[in-house]
Amino acid sequence: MLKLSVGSSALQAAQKALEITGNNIANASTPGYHRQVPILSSQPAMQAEGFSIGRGVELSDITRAVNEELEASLTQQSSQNGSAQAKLTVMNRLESRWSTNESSPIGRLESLFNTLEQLSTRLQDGASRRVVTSTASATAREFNSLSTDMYRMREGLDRLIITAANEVNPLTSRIADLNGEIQRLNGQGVKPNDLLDRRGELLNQLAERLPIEVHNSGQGQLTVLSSGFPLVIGNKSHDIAMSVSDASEIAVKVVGTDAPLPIEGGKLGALLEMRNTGLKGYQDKLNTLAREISRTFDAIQTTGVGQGGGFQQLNGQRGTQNVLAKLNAAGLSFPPQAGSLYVTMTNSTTGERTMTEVAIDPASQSLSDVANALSASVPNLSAFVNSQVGTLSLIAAPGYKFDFTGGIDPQIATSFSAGTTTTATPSGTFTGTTNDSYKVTFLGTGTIGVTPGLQARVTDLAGDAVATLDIGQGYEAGQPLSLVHGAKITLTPGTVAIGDSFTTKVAGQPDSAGILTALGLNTFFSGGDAATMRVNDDLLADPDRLATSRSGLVGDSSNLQRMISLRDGQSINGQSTFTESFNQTLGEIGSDVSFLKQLDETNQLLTSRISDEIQSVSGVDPNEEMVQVLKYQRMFQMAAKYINTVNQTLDELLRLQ
Amino acid sequence: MRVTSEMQSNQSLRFIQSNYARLAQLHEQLASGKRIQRPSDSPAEIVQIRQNSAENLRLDTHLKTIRDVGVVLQNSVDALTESRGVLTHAKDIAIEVNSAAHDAASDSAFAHQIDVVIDQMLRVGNRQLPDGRYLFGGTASHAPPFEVTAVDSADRPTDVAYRGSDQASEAVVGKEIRVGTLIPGSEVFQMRHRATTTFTGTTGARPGTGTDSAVEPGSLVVKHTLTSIAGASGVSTGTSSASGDTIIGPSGAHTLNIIDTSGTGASGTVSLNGGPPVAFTNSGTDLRVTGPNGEAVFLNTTSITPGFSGTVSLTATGTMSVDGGTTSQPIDFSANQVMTDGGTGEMTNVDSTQIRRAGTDRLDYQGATDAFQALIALRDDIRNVHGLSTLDRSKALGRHIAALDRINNDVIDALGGQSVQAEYLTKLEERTADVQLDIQKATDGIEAIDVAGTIAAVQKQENLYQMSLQLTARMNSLSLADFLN
Repeated sequence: MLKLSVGSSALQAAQKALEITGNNIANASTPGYHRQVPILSSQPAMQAEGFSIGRGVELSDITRAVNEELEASLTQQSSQNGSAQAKLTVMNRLESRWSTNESSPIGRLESLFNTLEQLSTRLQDGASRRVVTSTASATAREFNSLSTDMYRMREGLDRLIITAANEVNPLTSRIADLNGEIQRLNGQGVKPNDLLDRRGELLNQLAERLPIEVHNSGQGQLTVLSSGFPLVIGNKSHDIAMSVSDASEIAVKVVGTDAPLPIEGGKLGALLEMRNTGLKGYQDKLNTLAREISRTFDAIQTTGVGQGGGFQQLNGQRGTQNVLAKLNAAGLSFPPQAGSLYVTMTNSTTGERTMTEVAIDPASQSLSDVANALSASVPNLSAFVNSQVGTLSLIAAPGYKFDFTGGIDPQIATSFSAGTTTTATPSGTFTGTTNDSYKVTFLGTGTIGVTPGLQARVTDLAGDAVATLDIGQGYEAGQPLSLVHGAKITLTPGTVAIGDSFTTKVAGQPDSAGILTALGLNTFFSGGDAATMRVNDDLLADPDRLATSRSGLVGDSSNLQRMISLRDGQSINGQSTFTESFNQTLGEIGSDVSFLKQLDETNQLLTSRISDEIQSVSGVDPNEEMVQVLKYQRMFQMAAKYINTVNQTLDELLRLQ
Repeated sequence: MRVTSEMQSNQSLRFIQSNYARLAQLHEQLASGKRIQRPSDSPAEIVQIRQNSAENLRLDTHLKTIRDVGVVLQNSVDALTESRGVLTHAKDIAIEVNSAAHDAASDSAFAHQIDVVIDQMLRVGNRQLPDGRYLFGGTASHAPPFEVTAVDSADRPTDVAYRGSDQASEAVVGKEIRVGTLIPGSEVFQMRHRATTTFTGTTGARPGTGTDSAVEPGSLVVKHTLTSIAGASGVSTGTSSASGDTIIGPSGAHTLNIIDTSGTGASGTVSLNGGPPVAFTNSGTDLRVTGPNGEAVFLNTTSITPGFSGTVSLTATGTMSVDGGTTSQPIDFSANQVMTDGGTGEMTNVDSTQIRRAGTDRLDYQGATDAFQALIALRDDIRNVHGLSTLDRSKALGRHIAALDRINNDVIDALGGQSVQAEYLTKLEERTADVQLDIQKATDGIEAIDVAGTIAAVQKQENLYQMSLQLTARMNSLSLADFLN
C-alpha cells in the first residue's frame, strides 16, 4: 500500500527546515545569534512481509552552531575591552587637561620665574613687582583649575561607577531568569537555542562591565562568579552596590556582605582603579607639586623683606585647628619641625638691630606656647593668638620693626681680659645656608695693626677652624676682615690678649623650624594644596611686600635670587625641579594613554579575530542559507510530486471498479 | 574557514575606520605642522619638547635682562669715563699750580676750578639711571650715595660721606649667571691703597712700623715737657725752660758745650748741639741757647762750676698728639708709638726715636684719601689754608697729584671691570641667542613634520581609504540571490 504519510513527512520536514533556514537569514545580522541547523532523520522503518520499509523523514533536532571555547574567549576578551576602553576614556580626558602648555600650571610657573628674573634688573619698579604677583596669582589659579577639574573628573567617575554597577544587577538578574527558563525547557526536552543566545549575549555584556568566571552547573544552568564571589547561581542572582570607605575610596560590595569585591578588570574595575588609584595618584602628584612650590617660595618670602623693610605687624594666614594642641598635631598644612626662629628687631630711630633665637619644638609646643615664647624672648615684640581662627599675630612695640632675615647677629659675646681693649663689630652679608656661631680667638698678645704676626683664629660651632685673620702689622684697624660666607668683623685700634675671644652668631636658615610657613606669616602663598593655593592677600594687595632682599635696600636682590634659584633646584624629592616633575607626570600620562591606545587596538584586533572565528562557526552566510532554501524547496517540491504520484496511482486503482 | 557576509561587513568597517583615523591624523599633522600633538603621540619626546619650550621662553627673558643690564653698564661706563675726565682736569690744575708761582687771585681762581671739579664729581657719583636708580649706590640705589656732610664758611664742601651700600646690586642674566649692575661708589671713589704715612715737619717724627687707620690729612703736635741736665757743670734749666725749650730727646740726644773762660764760673760760653756759642755770666737765670737747627733751650748759668769746660748731656721729655692736643701721650722714643685720635679713635703709628724738636708735623695718610678728600685737600692747599711754606705746599700738591693719579687708576679699574662686564654681556647675548636657536632647531627636529613626506603619506592614505570604500561598496554586489529566478 502506497503511503501518503511518507510524502507528508517530507513535506513537513522540508517546511520546518525552510522555516529554520529562513530564521537564520532573518537573524543574519543579529548580534549574538548562532546559526541553527535542522537535523533531518529518517523515521524508523516498518517491517512488512519480510521487508523493512522506511516511513519517511522527520526533523529530529535543531542544532546551534557554537564553539564554547571561542565563546568563553570572547567573554573574557569583553572584560579586557571594557577595562581598556574605560581607562582610555578617562586618561584621554586627563591627557587633554594636563597637556595645555602656556596655560598649564607649570607654564604659568615658568612665566613666574621669568618675571622674577626680569625683576632682578628693575627691583624698584612697582609695575614689575605687580607683574610678578599677578603671574603668581595666575599660577595659583591654574593649579586651582586643574585640581578642580580633576576633582570633577573623580566625581564624574563616581557617577560612572554607580551607572556601571546599576547596569550589572539587571544583567545578573536576567541571566538568572534565563538559567531558570533554560533549565525548564531542557527538562521538557526542548532546545532553548534562542535563550542560550540571549544568555550568551548578556554574559558578554556582563563581562564587559566586570570580570566573570562562568561554570556550567548542568541542565544548561550557569554559575557566574566575579572575583570569586557568586553573582548568579542557578536562577538566583546577587545584586552589587557601591560603598564609600573612610579614606573616601569607592568600593563595590555584594549586597548583604561586608567585604568589597576586589574587581580587577572590566569597565567597573577600570573605573574603580582610575578613581581610587590612577586619578588620585595624579591628584596627589599635583598636590605635592603645589605644596612644594608653596613651601619653598614661602620659606624664602618669610625670611626676606620687601621694599618697606621690616614689619610692625604681621597676621598669620594659616591657622591651627586648636591653639592648645601641640603643633605637630594641630592640623597645619605645613607642619613645622624642631628648630629655631631668629627674630631681628630694629630700632627705627637708631637703626640698632638685635637678633634673638627662639627655639621651636612642635612636639611640645602649642601655638599658644609659641606665642608666649616669642613674647617672652624677643624684646619689643608681642605675639597674640586668635583662638577663633587659630592664627598668630606679631606686633612690634612703637618705634620698632621686626624681620626674620637672619644673617649676622649684630651683638657679639665677648670673653675679654683686661689686656684686650679692642672692640669688634660684625658686618657684611652672610651668604651661608646654615645657622652657625663663629668664635674668634686671639692667638697672641699685641696691638691691633701694630704687632707683627698677630693673628686670630676663627672656628665654627663644631670647633673646626674656618679662617685665620691677620690683625697685627698690615691690618688697618677699622677695616672689615672676612670671616666666612660674607660675614665680616671689624676691630678698632687697641690691644688684644692671647686666648681672649668673642663669638658672633650667624643665621643662614633663620626659620629652620618652618614655623613662619606653617603659620602663614608673610608667606608668598596661602592655602595648602593645589585646590586651595593662592597668593597671599597682603602680597597681592601690596607687591612691594615681595621679599626681594634680606636688607630692605631697594637694590638688594639677594632674596630674589634665592627665589629664582628654585627654578633649577631639585625641590621635588631632591630629584627633580618643579618643571621636570610636572613634565614627568605629563610623560607618564602620555605613556599610559599611549599604552592604553595600543592595548585597545590590540583588544579590538583580538576581539575581531575571535568574532571572526565565532562567525566562522556560528555566523549566517546568506548564500549558504539560500542553497539550503533551494535544497528544502526542492525537497518540498519532490515530496509534493511524490504525493501527487501516489494520489494518481490511487486514482488508477479506484478506476478499476 | 567559513566566511560570512557579517565577517566581511565588520572587516570593511574596521578598515574604513582605521584608514579614516590615520587620514585624520595626517591632516591634523599637516594643518598644525607638528608631528606630536599630545603627550601620548610620543611620551618621551613631549617631555623634551616641553622643556625646550620652557627653556626657549627663559632664554627670551635672559635676552631681555641682558639688554637691560647692558643699558645700566653703558651708563656706568659713561659716568666713569666722565669721572676720569674730571679727575684729569683736576690733576692738570694741580700741575699748573705747582709748576710756577701764582698770585693769590690766580690761586683762588684755580681753587674755584677745583670746586667746580668737586661739584662735577659729586654729580657723577650721584648719577641716576632714567628709572631713578643711582648708579653708584650699590644695593642702596634709592638715594644719592654721596652726600656733602660739611661745608666751610663759603658753603664749599669740606666733607663728603658715602651713604650707599658696600654690596653691588646684582641681576640675573642667565642660568646661575649673575652680574653686578649698580656697583658701590665706595669701590670706585673710596678705594684704599694705604702706603707709608708722610710726616712733613721738623720734629724728627717718622712713620712707625704699625698700620695706621687715620684717613684725612692731620697733624702731629709735639710738645716739650721737661729738660734735665746731667753732670757737674753747674748749669741748670732756666726759668722758661719748661715752656720755652724746644729740644726733645733722650739723654745724649742734645748736648751743651760749656767753656768757663773766666775760670771762676763768672762768664764763658755755652753752645747747644754744636751751634753758635752764647756768652753767659753767672747772673743769667734764663739764657736762651739755640742749636744749629733752631732748637732752643733756656739755661740758668748762675752756678757754673768754676773752671768747667766740657760737654753736658741733656735729656728732654715731651708729648705727642694727633688730635690737636685734645689727647696726648708722652714721647717714649720707641720705634712704634701708637697715637690715637681722641675724637675719631683713628690710629697713627709714630716712630719717635728721632724726635728732637717740638713742633707740628703735617700728616698725610698716603693712599687712604678718597676722591673727594683728595680734591678738597687739593683745593685747600691751592688756597694754602694751612699756611704751608712754599716748599711744603709744593710737596703737598705733589702728593695730591699722586693721589689723583691713584684715584684715577681706581676709576680705570672700575671702568675696566664694567667694560669687561659689558663685553661679557655682549658675548653672553650672542651665546644665548645661539643656544635659543639651537633649542628651537632641536624642538623643530623633534616635533615638526616632514612636509613632503606627510603629503605623500596623505596621498597614500587617501588612496587606501578610497580603495576600502570602493571594496565595501562592491562587497555584497554578488549574491546567489542575483542568479535565482
